Amino acid sequence: MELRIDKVTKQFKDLKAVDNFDLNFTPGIWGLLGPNGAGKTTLMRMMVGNLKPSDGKIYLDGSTISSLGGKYLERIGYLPQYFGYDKNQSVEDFLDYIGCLKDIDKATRHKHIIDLLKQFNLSDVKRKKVDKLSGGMKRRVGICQAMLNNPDILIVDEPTAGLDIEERRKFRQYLTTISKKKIVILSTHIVSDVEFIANYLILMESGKIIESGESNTLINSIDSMVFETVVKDEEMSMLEQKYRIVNFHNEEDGMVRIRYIAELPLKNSKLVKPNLNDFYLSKVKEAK
Amino acid sequence: MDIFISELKRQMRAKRVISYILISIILGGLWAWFIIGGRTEGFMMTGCYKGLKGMEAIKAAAKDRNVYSGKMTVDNFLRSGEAFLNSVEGKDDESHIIMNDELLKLVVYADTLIMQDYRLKRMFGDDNLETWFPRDFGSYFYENENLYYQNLIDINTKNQAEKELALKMWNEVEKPYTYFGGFEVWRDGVEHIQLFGFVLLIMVGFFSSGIIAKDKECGLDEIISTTTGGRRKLLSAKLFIPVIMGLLIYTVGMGTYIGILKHYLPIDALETSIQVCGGSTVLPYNLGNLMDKMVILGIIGILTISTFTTFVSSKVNKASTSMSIIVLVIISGFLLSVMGVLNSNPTMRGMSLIVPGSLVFAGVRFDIVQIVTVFGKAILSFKFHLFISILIFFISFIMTSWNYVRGR
Repeated sequence: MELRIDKVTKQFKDLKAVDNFDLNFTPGIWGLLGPNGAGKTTLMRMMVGNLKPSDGKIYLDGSTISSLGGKYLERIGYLPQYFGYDKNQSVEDFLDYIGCLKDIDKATRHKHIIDLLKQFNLSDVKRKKVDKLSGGMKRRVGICQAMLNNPDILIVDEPTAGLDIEERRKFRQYLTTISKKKIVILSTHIVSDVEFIANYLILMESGKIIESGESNTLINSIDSMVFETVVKDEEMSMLEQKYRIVNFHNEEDGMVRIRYIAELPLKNSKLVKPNLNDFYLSKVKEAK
Repeated sequence: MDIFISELKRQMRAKRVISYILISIILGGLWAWFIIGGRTEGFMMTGCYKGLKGMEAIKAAAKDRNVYSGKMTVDNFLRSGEAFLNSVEGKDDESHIIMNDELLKLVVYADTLIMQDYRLKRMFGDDNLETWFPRDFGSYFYENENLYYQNLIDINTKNQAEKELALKMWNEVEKPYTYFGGFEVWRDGVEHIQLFGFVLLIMVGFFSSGIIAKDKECGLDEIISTTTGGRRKLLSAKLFIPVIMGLLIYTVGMGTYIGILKHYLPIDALETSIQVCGGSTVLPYNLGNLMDKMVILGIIGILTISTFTTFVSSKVNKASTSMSIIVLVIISGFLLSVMGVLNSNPTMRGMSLIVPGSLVFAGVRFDIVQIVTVFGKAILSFKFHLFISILIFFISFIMTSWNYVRGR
């Protein structure tokens, strides 16, 4: 299975939200990282057919998604950034409604709903109105609706927004479980959401891909370039102009511990193991 | 079908439907109570039936007036003219009427004669409006009616085709006219079908305005549009649910209103010729026919506003915006219809034809001689209005389908 985004551009009046995006998605978890306004949501909306590209095409196994129509929609599950639901529907009714719209027969959707509710610990609240649930529970209902048709391609936009740490962890765990043989595309601006689960990473800024590839390869590309040292507070602004500082921590006596990326380190610096946050921040800073 | 039922369950959940139905029933009941309960009867400030109100007044007046009810013969008109003139005391410009038993029974005839005299004087420029008619005036009632309506047709038609149609209608009017006691309150009741229809239109507008816009507003549409049945298959539900709900609201509300009127008011009064009911019209209907026609036009008006609201709902992103637009459309239709009648303004009447839902107020098109010429063919104004509304209904259907299915 291959989802190909072929030089896709989306232009809104004066703004190019997605600019010549070109990539092949294969099974695995894809982390789509980028700051707010990078074009992640616009790209995802085009991938689910809710927006038409201004230029370029999207193919699934060689056929354009517009020509596949319903056959493509049968294979996708989508959780938008702002998960919408009917305030008056209970969890069970809402899932049944979406299942019905996904053309799943009554018996199958009934079984899927029971299984998903169990899997996401929502069985106890199935008769509660979605509107009355906590933020985390709502997101779980959102994921349930996206998974109802057991999609080959799961597209989730900022799925962890509003979730607490434990719910985030559970969510990541779930994605790992279901990702086998599926294309899971997860957009976020929170690095820790994808750090340990994404097989592939795409970094976006101003509608463009600034880096993409296997997670480990990308992170390793800055191996032996990440350092830590302690500097004076007043040196910070000067250092920020010269080095890509990815993190800092205030210490005692006006000193600051900084984590930075450089080919030639400062004196007294310690080489540290790079992580995704280092890579992400360095690339975003570089792109800006 | 599964999707249709699923959407039907979502949009027409019990609590919501019951609320709308209850409101319709309550409004229908209150409106009927307003028509019947507040009714007083009388004749030219004579104070007859003074102190009586509501059903008491209606029953007392109907009992007296039914003595000479049925076909309104020339003999009765003559008798009523004499009875009326006998009851007038003082000079014409300062005269007052002393009610007597005979006049009480012939009040409908006398009232019709007085109105005919007034209309003829106005039509032929007789300034002597204070002088009463001659003693034998009633003997010429139907000749005078012919004279009045033929002139009215001449004044209000623009070409030969319109004139021919108006004359054809006038010739179909059954003469002698018919009346039965209690028709006056029925006349008010029938007129109020339009006002009550206005309220029901607003209710239907409120229900339908969120049918698509609400999904967009809450973000659900974003999910719906990525499902296989979310566009084409859901469309029929999105189109027909407002129509079903519109019909339900109108049928229940108007049904309650007319049901109560029929329960309390004399049914035979619906056989009264509309020419006796105060206005001037060349249409050959009785009150019952008029009521049926106004209800049917009301239903089509409701269907039109339902589909038009669905169209607006598919264009905007907020239910409140859609609601505001529809309320504005309904009020415009109402004002244009009313102002068109009050000012006899053909432009306003013409504009009101194309406002969705304005067919509910098409009762104003039964008045005087309202004929339009379309491609050289004369057609009754209310029928043309009906045609335009059906057209708006289908155009709204098509445009909503286009909007909804084509996606973004």
